[in-house]
Amino acid sequence: MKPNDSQHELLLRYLDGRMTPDERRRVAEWLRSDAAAREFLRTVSEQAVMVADLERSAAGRKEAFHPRQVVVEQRRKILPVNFHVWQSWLAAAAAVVVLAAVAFQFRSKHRPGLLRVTKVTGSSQYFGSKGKIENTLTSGTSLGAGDTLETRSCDAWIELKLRDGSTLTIAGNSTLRILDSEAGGQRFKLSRGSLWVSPAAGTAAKPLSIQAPTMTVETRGTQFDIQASSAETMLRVNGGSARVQQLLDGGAVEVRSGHQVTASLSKREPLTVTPQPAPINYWACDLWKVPEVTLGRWLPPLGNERARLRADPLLWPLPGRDPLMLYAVALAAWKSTDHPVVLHTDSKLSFRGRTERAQMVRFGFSAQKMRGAFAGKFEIDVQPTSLGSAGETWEVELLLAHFRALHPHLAASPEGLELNDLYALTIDDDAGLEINHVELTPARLVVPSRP
Amino acid sequence: MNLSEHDILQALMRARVRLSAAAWLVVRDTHASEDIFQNVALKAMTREVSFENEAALMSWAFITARREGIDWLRRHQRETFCLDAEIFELLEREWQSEAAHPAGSKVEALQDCLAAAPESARRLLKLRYFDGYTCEEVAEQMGLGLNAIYKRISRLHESLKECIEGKLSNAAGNGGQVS
Repeated sequence: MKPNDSQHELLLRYLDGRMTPDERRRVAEWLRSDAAAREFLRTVSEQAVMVADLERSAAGRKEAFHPRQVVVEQRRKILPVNFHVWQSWLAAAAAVVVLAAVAFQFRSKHRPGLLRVTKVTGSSQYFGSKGKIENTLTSGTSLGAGDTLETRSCDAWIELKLRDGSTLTIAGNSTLRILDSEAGGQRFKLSRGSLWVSPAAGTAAKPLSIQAPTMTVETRGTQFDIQASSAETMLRVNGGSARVQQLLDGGAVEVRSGHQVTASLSKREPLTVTPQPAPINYWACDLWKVPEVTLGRWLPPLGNERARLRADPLLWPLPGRDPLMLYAVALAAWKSTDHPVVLHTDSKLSFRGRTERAQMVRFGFSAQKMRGAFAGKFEIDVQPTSLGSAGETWEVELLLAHFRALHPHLAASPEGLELNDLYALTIDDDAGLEINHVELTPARLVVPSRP
Repeated sequence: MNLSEHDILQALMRARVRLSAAAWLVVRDTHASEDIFQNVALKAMTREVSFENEAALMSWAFITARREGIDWLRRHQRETFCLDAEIFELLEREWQSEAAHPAGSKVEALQDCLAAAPESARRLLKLRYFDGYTCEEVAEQMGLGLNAIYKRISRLHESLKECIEGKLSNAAGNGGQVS
């Protein structure tokens, strides 16, 4: 018998887990014996995925026709979705070709590859070992020794699956080269940027070696992250342990879980392992103290603004379309404090700055799990009407709960995550965006205890 | 003789919505279910497996989608309540025995049906299934009670199902054109 409305509601609550164990048991029994009840579950699940397909498709069309409204997220999809009748066969054929191409790429590139690209977002570039340059990578591509990957914008990241099942992620402005493997291990060179490694659970991890500008890190089954610039590298170990050798003096140390080490050319000191500092939830970026700027250029002081950072252009390739120009300022928050900066949905991010012309400004930040893996990016668009008159200084205060997660499958909310990088940008037109102050204020301040 | 690469791709494309829907029943996240379908398609194409016929392919694909979903839940430490294996097997069997429509036609029919639905209905579905809000959060955003949201979603699914079936049967009579 066909279920009635209230039975349908019951099934929806069942899917949401809004039931007592006893109710759940009874509904499960009903589902086992009633084909009509199961048919409703199939209907709900099919419509759920189709609604999402249509929304993605609508977002794609909006992006094509209104470049200023473009969402700076690129979910690289293997299968295009197309819904017009006259195009449906064409769509199917195109999808077949694309999938076939991916499969061919997968097979043909399946030399004894070290690793496979599993996710790609934002502007990236791939330099093959034989000099091949590709502006965009595709999920499924197999990579080997000599290949170099670059993520070239604050919103970009690439996730790789290593042969032992471990996950390696680079994000922001990062360059990673795959080196020859040694004794069954895997070796990489991180020239700059941020890298996260999460070992596969329950498998025999292989040795992993990362050469950074100022240190070499050797691990096996270790969860860790590295932040590297040309003169400084910081390693944080969040699970397992790592052996670190400083390139400056050859000194080596063992870094255990919950500890970190920094090798800096400017300090010229032996490596010292320290416990990872307690997190803080307040953070302010004094631009005049010259923080790590990953994108933008300095402007001379103006009035009581001692430091001003102007957006720099950044070309953002789009598959199958003309590239988009972004004008962005990006700061590495992790460089400006020894403490991890913890994010809460009721915290607020304030940006002070100005634009020469009225234009929408996109504000965003990247985050990682507290002492864990990369957790994605979060963004919010602020319309020019909310910023005030062009040419005048504005200050926007943005509740973190209002930022949208660009990669909700990594983290749907910034709650409890650690802040990595911050950025502000305009899309397509250079509106003369300047930023002169950034601050994170919590609803309730946490003062870390002294070590 | 085993299915060719071309046959595998066509079969997977025809079953795309069903396979993604099966994955959704595990993870309850439409973006993750899309990723899972892509992973299943990639696995099917790597020739680590071969299929004697379409039924074998579909059986493998549904089981792989379910496993990938469970793995995704584990990796993301999601505590989503999971249907038991027996119910999944029944659902998968029913999906496999259902007649397949041309790739994209069901989505196209849904698009037409949604175009005729009130704006609030479209918003409700977007919040729930694309933005990934819980019914409680949707209720809050729409200024409605939780019971009202469950009632609306349940009626919406049912009316959309009737609308889609109507359009698909008309299309069958019109030589494939959804009107």
